[in-house]
Formats: sequence, structure tokens, C-alpha cells
Amino acid sequence: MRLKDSKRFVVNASVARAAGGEGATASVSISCTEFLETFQDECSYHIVMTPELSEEWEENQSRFAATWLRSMIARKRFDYVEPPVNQVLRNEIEGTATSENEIGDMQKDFHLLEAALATDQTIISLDETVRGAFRPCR
Amino acid sequence: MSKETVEGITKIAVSGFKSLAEECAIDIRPLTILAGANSSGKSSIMQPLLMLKQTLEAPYDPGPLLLEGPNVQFTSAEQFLSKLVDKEGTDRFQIRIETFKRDFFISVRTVFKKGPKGIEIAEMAETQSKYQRLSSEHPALYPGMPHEEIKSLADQYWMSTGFETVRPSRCFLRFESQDGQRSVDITHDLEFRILSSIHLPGLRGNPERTYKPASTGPQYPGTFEYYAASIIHDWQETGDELLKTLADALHALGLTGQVGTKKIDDTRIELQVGRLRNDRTSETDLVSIADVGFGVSQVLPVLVALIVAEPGQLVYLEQPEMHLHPRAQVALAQVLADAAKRGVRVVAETHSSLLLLAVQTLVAEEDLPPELVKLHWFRRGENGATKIDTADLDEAGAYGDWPEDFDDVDLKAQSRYIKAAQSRLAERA
Repeated sequence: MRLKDSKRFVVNASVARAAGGEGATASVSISCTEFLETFQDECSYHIVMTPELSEEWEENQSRFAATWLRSMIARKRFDYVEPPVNQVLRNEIEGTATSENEIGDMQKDFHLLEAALATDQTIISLDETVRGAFRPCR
Repeated sequence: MSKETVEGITKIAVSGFKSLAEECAIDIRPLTILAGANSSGKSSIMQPLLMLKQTLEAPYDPGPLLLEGPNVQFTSAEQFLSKLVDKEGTDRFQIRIETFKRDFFISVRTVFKKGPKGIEIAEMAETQSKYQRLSSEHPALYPGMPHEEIKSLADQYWMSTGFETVRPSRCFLRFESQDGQRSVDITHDLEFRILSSIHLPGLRGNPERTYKPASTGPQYPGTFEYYAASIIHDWQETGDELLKTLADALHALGLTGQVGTKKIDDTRIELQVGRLRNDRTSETDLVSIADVGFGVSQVLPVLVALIVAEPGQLVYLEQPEMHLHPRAQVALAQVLADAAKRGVRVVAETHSSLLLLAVQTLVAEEDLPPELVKLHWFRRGENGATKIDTADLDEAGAYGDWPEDFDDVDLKAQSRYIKAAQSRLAERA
């Protein structure tokens, strides 16, 4: 059960991959590791997970991120949600895209947006490209 | 309505004993995990029960408490009576044990104090309640209690007439007639539960070339490691299916494919295990347990205890995961769970985060009902007193705010390594 004053965050798999994983630069890797540690220290923070996001974590998570996630589940700070596809919103957002590539980037992460809208409206991600694509929709 | 369906010991509460200065209590479920830092009080909460066990099992009458025996070893009361940094030391300790039998919870509280002649019983009180734990305690009995008071209490609470004396009988008190010819043992069921309990200590000795024949149960005086060879031998001689259960468990732990015994003579039994881990067919390829890795000899009595124990029997395991590879620690959880599902009351004191994770996984996989599991986390307060945090698992195997710090240690160790390694790699680049 979620506490009244808790905050639910959607954490993209890019963070789970970079936290101690291969392929990230040292500074990004250390920042993501520290971010997850700080997240866990803040008892009111919960991680939001959807079926699609769960698959992405499974494919990309570092060992550190896997241990971290297991710990969040054990501490009952793991909120599993299955938000419905919001087709109207998806169509409107796609209308703001400036290229086919941008539409592809946005489609890839629509599920994050829907999960955030169904919870406390915050996504943690390293993906600046998609962030840039969504920016005109604010 | 009580959730309890299996008879046996359901709760232990201790005070005045080592770091358990204030009363600390643990519910005993079929799978009870005791965790916490070294010297946090995990063993201490079980030691008074073990002292009762060795007192009741002594071949002579050792008086109210046998301090130095096969299960626990003290040589003076000062070694276990609580002394906190901010309080004067106590001269007494208390143990309260609750058992469940035929819809009734029966709780017996016994206070032991250090007197001029050594440890003596100060008082003993009983509580009985049907289905739930709400009724008040009966008036306490004490040695030297006036006859009239005893007669009245015996009649009122235990429906026993003609008893005028309260006398110690080893670690408990009982009613006796004035001439000592008749007595009522009101702790009969509790004594049976204590005598039936199985104890496997953290130090289980070196593997031996041969073992002495021993009883094959259902009671195992002292510590259990001396019985494993004889029990396996008995299973082998009688064609008991439990021998296959044991071999399957050893195989699941990745240790060996076979187990058996060879009777050398009437005083010696050799314990043998398969030389190859995956060979489950060649009965001739067996070697002495003394010739294989330490993990096998250390975990074998644990497995035998879990398999041989009957529903309601308490099995107290100190560090069951000792000397086991991480993969075997994970597999061990299944053996613990199987015993718990049969109604055995397993108390496992552990430092293994993998064992705990595997138990959580079995719950999440719906193999182990969460109501069978109880977690107790021990820690020491600033004044040195033990505090216990307790948690239940939910259907996903999660325990919530229980201060389990295995993950914290793991994460911090990983984080430290990641930062150090990444910085070094960045310098190199």
C-alpha cells in the first residue's frame, strides 16, 4: 500500500543500464548509481513499473540495478501499474513531431508517459533525444 | 479465530538474559528466520529454551537449570544475567514459552533467580486461552507457597484437589500432595515440546571416519549432528523413501548424487556419499564423508533434521547455510520450505541474504504460503539492549519496513566498487 505522502517515479531502463553497467561513461555510471542510492534512502519514494517497462529493465539492468530493484520490491516500494493506452493523447503528441524519426522516438516511450500520467507525473531518464522531442507538448 | 493449525511451540519471550534485558518476544511460525548483525541477540533468545532442554534431558537431576550441557555452556549465572551500560545488573531472568494444542494456546512463564545456592526458580505462571491470546495469566506459583493458597488455586484453575505443596521438578514447578505421593505436572505438554526439539548448533564439528550408533528418534537429546548417521542407516536398512528424499535434496544443492551408510561393526557406522556430483546410479562409487568437501558434512545433519522432523516439532538451526556455495544456499530454501509446509516449526538463524531471497521467491512463486513465514530482525540499542523488528511476507514475498540490511550492504559494496573501478578506468582513458 502506498503511503499518503509518497512520490511515485517512472525510472527509465536507461538509468538501470548505466548504473554500474557497461557502455556508460564513468561520470554517467557513477551519477546513476548515486541517484539510485539516494532514491532508496528517501523512504517516501516509490518506483513505478509497467509490463513494458519491466521488460526493458529485464533486458538492460546492471547487476547493481537488479539488486536495487529487488530491494525496492522487498520494501514494498514498487508500484506495479497497467495504464491504458491513451490513443487520443498519442495522436496529439505525434502531431507535434517534426520528422518521422522523432515520431519513432516518441512512440518508443509513450508507455513511460502514460505510466507517469497514471501516477505522479515524473519520468527519470537519460534519453535527452526523446526528452527534446516531447518538449513542445508541455 | 487463530491462524494456528499445527501444534507445537508458537512463541518464545525472554527477559533479563544477556542483551535481552527488556522482554523480547518472537512468534514461531513453520519457517521463522532470525537475522541481524553478529552479537545482536539471535542466539540469546533461543538459549534459555536450550537450557531447559538440557536440564530436562540430563541423566541425573541437575536442579532448576543445567548451565553447562551439550546445547549451551555457561559456568556461572553472571555470564548470562543482563547487565546494561545504564542499569544495574539483574539477579533474575524470565522465559515465557507458548504452545498450541487442540485449539488452546498455553503459555508458561518461569522466572529463575540467582540465590545463595545457585540458580533457583522464583515463580512460574500459566495462561490458557482458546483460539486467541487474550486471557489473563493465572496467579503465579512459587516455592514455599502457603498450603491454603495452593489448595485454592489448584482447585480453581487446574481442577485438581488434594494438593498442598508446590515443589520444583527440575526447571518447572508442580503441585504435590503433602505426603509427596501424588503430583500434577501442569507443564507436561511444554516439557514434551522442549524434549522433542531438535538443535543443530553453528559449530557442527569435523566430519568423522565413523559415527557411533544413536537413537533414530523421535526425540534427540543433546545436539542433533550425532544422530544423522544412524537415521540414514535406518532409512537404508528399512528401505525408507526418506533416503531418496535426502539424496534428492543433496543433489538439488549440487553436492552429491547419492548418500548411504556402511556398518563397520556394532559400534561404528561409516557415512558415505557419491564421489561424483551428478552420478545418481553407480552405488559402488561411494566414498567416506570425511573425504569430500566440508559443505556436505556440515549441511547433511541440517537436511536429515528437516526431513526426519515431525509436524509440530521444533527444529532450531544455527547458520544452516554454513560452508555452502551460493547456489546451494538458494536450493536450501526449498528444503526449509518443504519442512515448513509439512508443519515442522523451523527456526533458522542466518546471515545469508541469498537464503532469505530464495524464501521470498518461493512465496512469490506460490510454492510457500506467506502465512507460514515470520522474519525477526535483531539489533542492539545504544544501551546495549536487543530490539527485535518483526515482519510478515506478503503474497509477493515483500516484507516492507523490516530493517533488513543485507541489500544495503550489498548495494553499498557494489556502489563503492563501481565508483572506484569507473574512476580508475576514466583515468586510464
